[in-house]
Amino acid sequence: MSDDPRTVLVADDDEDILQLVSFRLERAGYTVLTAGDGQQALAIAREHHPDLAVLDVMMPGLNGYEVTRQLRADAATAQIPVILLTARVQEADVSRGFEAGADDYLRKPFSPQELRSRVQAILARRSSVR
Amino acid sequence: MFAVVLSLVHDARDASDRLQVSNERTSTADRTLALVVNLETGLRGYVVSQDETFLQPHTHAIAALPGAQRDLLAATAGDPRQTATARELVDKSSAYLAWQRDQRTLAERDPEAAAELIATGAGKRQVDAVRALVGELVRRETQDARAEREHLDGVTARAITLATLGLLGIPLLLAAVVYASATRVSHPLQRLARAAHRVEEGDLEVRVQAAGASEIAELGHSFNAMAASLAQAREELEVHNEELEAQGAELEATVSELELEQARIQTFHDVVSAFTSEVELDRLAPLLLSKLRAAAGARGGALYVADPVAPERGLSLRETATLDPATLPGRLTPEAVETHFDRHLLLPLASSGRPMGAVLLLDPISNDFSTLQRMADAAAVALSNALALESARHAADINRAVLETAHDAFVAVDADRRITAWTPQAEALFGYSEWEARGQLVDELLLPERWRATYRAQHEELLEVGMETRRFEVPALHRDGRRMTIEVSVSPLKVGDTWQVNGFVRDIGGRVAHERAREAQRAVSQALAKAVPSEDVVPQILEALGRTLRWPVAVHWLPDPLADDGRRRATEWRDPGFEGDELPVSVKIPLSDGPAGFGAFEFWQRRRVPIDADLADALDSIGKLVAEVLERRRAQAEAEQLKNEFFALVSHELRTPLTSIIGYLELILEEEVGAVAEDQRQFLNVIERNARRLQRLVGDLLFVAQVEAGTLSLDRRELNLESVVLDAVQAARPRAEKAGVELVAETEPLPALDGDPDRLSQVVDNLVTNAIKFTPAGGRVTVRARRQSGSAVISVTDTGIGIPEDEQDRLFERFYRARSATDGEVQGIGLGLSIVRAIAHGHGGEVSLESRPGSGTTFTVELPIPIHEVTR
Repeated sequence: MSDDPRTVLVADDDEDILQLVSFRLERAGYTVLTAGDGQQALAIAREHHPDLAVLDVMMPGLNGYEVTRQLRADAATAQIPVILLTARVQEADVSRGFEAGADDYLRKPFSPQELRSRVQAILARRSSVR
Repeated sequence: MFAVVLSLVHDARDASDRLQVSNERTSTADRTLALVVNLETGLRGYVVSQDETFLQPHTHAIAALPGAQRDLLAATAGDPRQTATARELVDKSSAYLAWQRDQRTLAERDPEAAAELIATGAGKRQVDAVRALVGELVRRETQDARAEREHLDGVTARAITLATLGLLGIPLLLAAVVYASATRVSHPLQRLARAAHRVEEGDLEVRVQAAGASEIAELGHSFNAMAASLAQAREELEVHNEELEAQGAELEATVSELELEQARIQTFHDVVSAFTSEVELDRLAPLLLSKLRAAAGARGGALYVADPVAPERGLSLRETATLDPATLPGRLTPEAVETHFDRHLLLPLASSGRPMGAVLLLDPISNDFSTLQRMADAAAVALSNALALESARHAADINRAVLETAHDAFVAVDADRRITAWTPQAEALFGYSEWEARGQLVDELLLPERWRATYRAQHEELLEVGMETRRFEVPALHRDGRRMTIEVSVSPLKVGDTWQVNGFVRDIGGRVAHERAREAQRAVSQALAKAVPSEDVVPQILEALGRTLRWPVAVHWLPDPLADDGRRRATEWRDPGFEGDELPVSVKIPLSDGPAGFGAFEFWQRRRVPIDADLADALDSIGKLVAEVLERRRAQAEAEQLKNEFFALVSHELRTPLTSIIGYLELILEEEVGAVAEDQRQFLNVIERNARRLQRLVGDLLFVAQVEAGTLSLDRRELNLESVVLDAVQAARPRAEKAGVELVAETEPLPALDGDPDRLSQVVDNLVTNAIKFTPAGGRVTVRARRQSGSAVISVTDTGIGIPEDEQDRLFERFYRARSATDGEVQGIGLGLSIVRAIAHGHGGEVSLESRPGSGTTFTVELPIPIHEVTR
């Protein structure tokens, strides 16, 4: 885990959204690491230990649930908070996310503003726990 | 002449006096006897019947007897012999009176003991002694009186003759005296003459003033003496009359006794007709016993009756009265009679020399055995009839039971071929109930038309030949029109003087198999009907078929290329009651023709029973049906899967680009990437507004799809409905202003509600948006939120164009658009109201509308307030 609590991993297979989210978070002062799919996200997380991961659920290969589960399964990455981005609307999808170990979720379409405030809230909670 | 008359009159008076004394003695003796008899009968009547009215004569006799005794003693004074008898009579009757007093006390305290004592005849003996004494006394008096009466009759007759002659002579005598004595005596004579005239008229009390000249006075005296004598004579005549009257009374008593006898005969007759009019043993038995017991005055009784079915078993106890049946022997045997019935009167009831029963009467009072025996004879005849009826019934029951337990159906017809008997088996075989079948022509009811003539010929032939049994096969029709083959075994029978033909009928066609096939099909249909769509239906079908056809083991095989024999055991059902080894024979039912079908069912039979054509057909069609059902279910599941995938796709593929569009627009509009010129901002706003509209549309479509799929989930929490409504109204204000419509909110604080705030906000938003759309500029939209009994009510009222009545019902349908909307090119796809309704229903609420074209519409949403909030 990095000493700077402002590194955020963002993973989405949609390049436009990836850019949009990165732009917003960078503007808010975070260091953003981006990944285009689940496998990449997992690799970056293991290598860089970000303070937070924002993962899209529907990604080719490893989906968001799977990435979350693998992060939780590895002691080195188990502590990384996860926010899932989902276009799914059904309750079952949300509960699946929490079962996998996610800390929060956002429904698409989401406002980048809202994402920023959720990220801030979770990181603030983390630092106060610590 | 007067002297003669006077002497005669004197003589008559003496005789009459003696006669009167004699009468007095007889009547006082009789009265005493009558009282003694009253004592005896009164108490006996009371003891037998327990009827208080019998005690009235008894009470009276006790009070009157001493007086009667005194009178008797007084009357017999002067005749030593009669006095002695009277004294003895008084002693005996006094003793009896004392005995009766004790008896009565006993009777009131312990009727049974009193009855026993009466039965000993002790009282009766005393009465008989009194009766003998009275008889003696009366006989003597009668002898004396007869002589006196004859004498008196003679004297009286002579005196009357003379007196009459005298009376007739008086006027002549008087005329002569008048002639001789001229005026001196004329006045007294006139008086005398008037008196004589009155005597003539019957006034014997008249007396003449004996004054005047001496002869006249003498004459007056004589006249007076004569009149007195005549008066006396008349008195005696009256006494005589009274005697005659007494005899008349005696005659009356005899007549009433005869009437009593007639009443007894009538009673006997009534009892006998009551017996003979009752033929039901159950009712006759108690009747016999009660009548015979009453006639005998018995304390209790029992009736033993022969067994109607097996008379050789002897007489057994049938009925008791006031006796405990447990204390009586069940069978009437000579030993039982000796040991049990020493105080009983045993009346045998025999008819034509055969014992039908016996009546036992405990402590009977009557000793009129001849009457009792006559009644018993009548009872025996009635009993014999009742037993014969019972026996006939029993025989009929046995016959019926035999016919009804037989394997074959039994049908009887009369000589005209009309059905007279029809057993339950016949009903089961042909489908007609007994009342439907009876009276019908058998060939018309049961046989196909072209077989009827054949049957009629057989029928006629049988009747001609008489005793013979024939067996033949014939097609027959079930009530439901189904054809079957029956085997009939018929034989004619003469009943009385008419013939009938009895037939035993058996189904030899495939009726049973047919029935099994039908049941199997029915069982499968029921299992399919009951099955829940989402569950595997195969186990239910296996069980239904296995149970119906009594095949205890069933397996559903599915094709499996990897398995050794190319199949695998998918489902197995076993009858829980079946414990056994491998069964030898199995029946296979393929579930489709092709190789990739749904495999096959296999059932194991307990025994090797050939599958008949009917059942094979049924199983074949069941196999096809099950394959169809499984195919349909598979298709449904697939469609369900596709639909879910489609929704996932739509939501992801539409929302992801929208997310980008709106996200980047926001970025630009917030001038994160540089300043935006005013006209640029204006166009970007247009893009954003339409992007948002598209976003809402996608949301609505997904929402409706969720409702359809039954997967709508509400994020319910405690909420303040008033503020939800006010926020939604606030959000709609810009739109209202733009449309030139006044938007008014009239709300009141509402109890906390359990609901999804976003969805409820959507309800208000949809309704308000609609209202604004359909209200011309200058109109008004009012949103109200208030509490109404147990509900929170939100209503949105507009002053718009209204909704025609024929459209109101369809308005909440999905994608339905009002004509005014399509005509006026109002934007929308017709989902808003169906979403409102789905959300209201999701909250347990309801939505309704009220509208008059031209003057506006009110939509009302009613949401239930939780009970704990209602009572708060």
